[in-house]
Amino acid sequence: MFEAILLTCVHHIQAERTISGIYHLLTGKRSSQTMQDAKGYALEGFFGIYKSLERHQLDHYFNQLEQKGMIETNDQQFVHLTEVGEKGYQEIDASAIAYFQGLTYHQMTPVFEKRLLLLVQTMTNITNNRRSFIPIIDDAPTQSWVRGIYASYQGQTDSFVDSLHEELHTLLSGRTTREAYVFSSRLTGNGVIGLTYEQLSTESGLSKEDVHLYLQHVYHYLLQKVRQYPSSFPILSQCIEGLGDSTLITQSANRTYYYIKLGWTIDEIMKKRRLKKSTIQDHLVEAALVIPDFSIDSFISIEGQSLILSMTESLETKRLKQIHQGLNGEFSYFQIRLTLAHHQHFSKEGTSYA
Amino acid sequence: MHDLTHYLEQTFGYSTFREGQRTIIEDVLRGDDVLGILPTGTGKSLCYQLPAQIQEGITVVVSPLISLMIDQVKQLKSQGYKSVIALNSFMDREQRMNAMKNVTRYKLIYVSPEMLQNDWLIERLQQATVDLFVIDEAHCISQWGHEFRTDYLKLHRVIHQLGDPTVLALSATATPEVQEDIKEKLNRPEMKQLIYPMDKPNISFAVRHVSSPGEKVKQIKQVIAKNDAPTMIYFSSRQWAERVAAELQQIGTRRVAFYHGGMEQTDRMLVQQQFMNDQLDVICCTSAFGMGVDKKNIRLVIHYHFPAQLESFIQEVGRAGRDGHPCVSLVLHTAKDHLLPQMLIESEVPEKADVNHILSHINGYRSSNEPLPEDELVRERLRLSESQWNFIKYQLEERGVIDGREVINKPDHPHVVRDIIQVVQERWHYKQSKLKEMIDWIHHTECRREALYRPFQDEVRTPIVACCDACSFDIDALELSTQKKKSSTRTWEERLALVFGRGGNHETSSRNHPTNER
Repeated sequence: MFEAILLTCVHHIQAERTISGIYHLLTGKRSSQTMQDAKGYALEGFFGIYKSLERHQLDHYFNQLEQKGMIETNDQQFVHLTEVGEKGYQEIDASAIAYFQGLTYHQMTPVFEKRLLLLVQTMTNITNNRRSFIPIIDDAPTQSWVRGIYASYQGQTDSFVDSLHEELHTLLSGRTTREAYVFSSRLTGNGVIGLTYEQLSTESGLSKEDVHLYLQHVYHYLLQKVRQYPSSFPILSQCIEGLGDSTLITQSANRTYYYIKLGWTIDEIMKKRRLKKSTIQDHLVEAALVIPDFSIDSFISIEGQSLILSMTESLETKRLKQIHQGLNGEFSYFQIRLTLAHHQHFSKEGTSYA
Repeated sequence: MHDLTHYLEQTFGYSTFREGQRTIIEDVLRGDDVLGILPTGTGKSLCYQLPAQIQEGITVVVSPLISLMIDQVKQLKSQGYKSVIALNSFMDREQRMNAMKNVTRYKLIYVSPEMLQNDWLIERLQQATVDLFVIDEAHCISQWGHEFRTDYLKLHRVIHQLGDPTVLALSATATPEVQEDIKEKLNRPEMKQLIYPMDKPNISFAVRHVSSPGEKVKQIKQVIAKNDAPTMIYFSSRQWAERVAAELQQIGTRRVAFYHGGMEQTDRMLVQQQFMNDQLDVICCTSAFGMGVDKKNIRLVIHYHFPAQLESFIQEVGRAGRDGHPCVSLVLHTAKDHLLPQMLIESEVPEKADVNHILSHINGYRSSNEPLPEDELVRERLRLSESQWNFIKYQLEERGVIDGREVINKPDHPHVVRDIIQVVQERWHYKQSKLKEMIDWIHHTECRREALYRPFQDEVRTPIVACCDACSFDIDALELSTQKKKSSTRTWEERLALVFGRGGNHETSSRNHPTNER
């Protein structure tokens, strides 16, 4: 699974990014650059799907891919697929990673997961007369949420447990045996304690990383199905109540955008917010990425925009340096980034595969 | 007088007190300051949980072990004891502010010593009545206090600020010398001492001298092959705990996991509860495990690494056999094993030769009229470990050289230098002598039980099991077994049904409730 994801990433970035870029994508770094990459390279699905990933784990996988002759790194540290790698990429079973929607779900997933784990533990223990147990999720908001659910179903816990069982059973039947197994073994309830990542990895013969990703994938799958058919899954729907899609823009960028809408110039915002020019520019690119109706015309003329776009198309690259040189340095990097960010909303290929 | 048994029954569901509990509770309710020495697993915490429930005012419990206090709060809550909270640095800012604002609403407040340095919290507590001030793990004042737990040494001031409530100091292991030290540091020489024996009549001791770490693993494999019973194996390093756990998993007949402070929070919780729930047979752990875990049927405690003092060793073997049934302690030892605790000590106490250099560096800030930078930065510049720097900082504070971040007096004044060098040396000798006691015990050739418990109590009881390898105990002849729960690989649907308690063959035959330490 992890290998398939990495091959997909490398395939999409086409030797225009380093391993660090992929690392930031998977761990969900909230920076303009990373979000821009996620969108620009149609890798939104993988954004933040492995927040606890450590750099050495990723390096280890890349070393393996390199040893297998699937990827190569050029002198600028950019990675790309070899012929063998390309073949491996073609062989990936697309359905295995089809449900990842990281950019939308990366903030919702951990909350949903905690709620579900604690809800299952609590309700199944209670219906089976185990009133004294130590909650496996140790965080106050989740605990008070579960308490609320418990209070509103008092007296009907038996049927509640049956329905939740049913909902999960139905949904898991739509996943592979392996995913369903990893998911159900992680659950704690009715006096049975769930397994750790380590144990799941030993039991299923998967790497620790794959265990993590299979679980994430199931969670994204559940989220999608539940949101699609809320009336078929009433209890799981309750588990996502109050959890909105991730706001795609960082708070800081949002404030910059607010001043721009008020008609302030970059210099004025710099003074007001005591930020560097480059930071403000990053914010604007970020805003352009996520807000389709943000007009960038005051930063670069319409003609400029179309020149940049046609150069991008003829060079078949998103690498700023090449575009910049191709236009004889007529436009700043900021103008190029802003244009690319703004226009990805309207391009045909800007949609994610996931 | 209150009907204590009634409260005991009502709140905790027990019908009788254990040894020592009633006397301590009665004394505390009468307003007497008490120093209670009760062995691990005999229900120290009940000695303040019950008074907290009975008394009008607040009971404050200082504990250095955050995981322990969080576990206790969880356990109390699971028993329906709601007005309890743990204030500690693990809470995020908002949670902490909220809890502190409403602090007077609680009856039982667990707090880490560093939180008590927060003036606002003290002010909040002053607005209520604190009836009882409890110091858990009171030996920290003496054993570690000089270095890491500088906050513990300031407790007497906090107690005074809170209107001098009744003080209850509790510890599982304190020699007479440490007991005196506790009373002195708390400024309560009149404290009543209630000391209960810590020897375990149901444990047998053995030490195995082997030639290499590999030999240790071999020994462990042999022992657990013959003894199918809940086992803890102690390590001083996380890497070793993981490595040996992996080797033991290879055997395939035992369910083995590791546990240490570096694990992800949920996984930590899962391993702990699996062990409690008999889903695991063997746990390879560091000392981070076991605080507040009250598993009654641990049969075997193996030390792959031994701790740096007997007190820790006694606590760790104290986790075995809390159900009163026979249990065993096995220490595995190679000739090089003293090096690891030696290194640990070196990282805790600064070296004598460094003192001059450290002090003149600090003088540099005074000369240039600068405040001390962040602790981390100072440590980095001086290449000191956290505890080494805390030690020096505390010594300088005590001598009026620094106040907060200000260097107010000359740190390299000859008598300051001399004093600090002397303290460093004393500390060093103290730690070395503690380690030597531990090593001597390992090489002891006469009765181990006598040698282990004698420094702490006058009488050592006759054991109900074979005593030790110097007396009549032969670990090779040991064959323990416990009834096992069957576990078999199932399909995901069976596993799901099991968790939901809907059909499927049930894994747990007996219902195992995590119970509170009484």
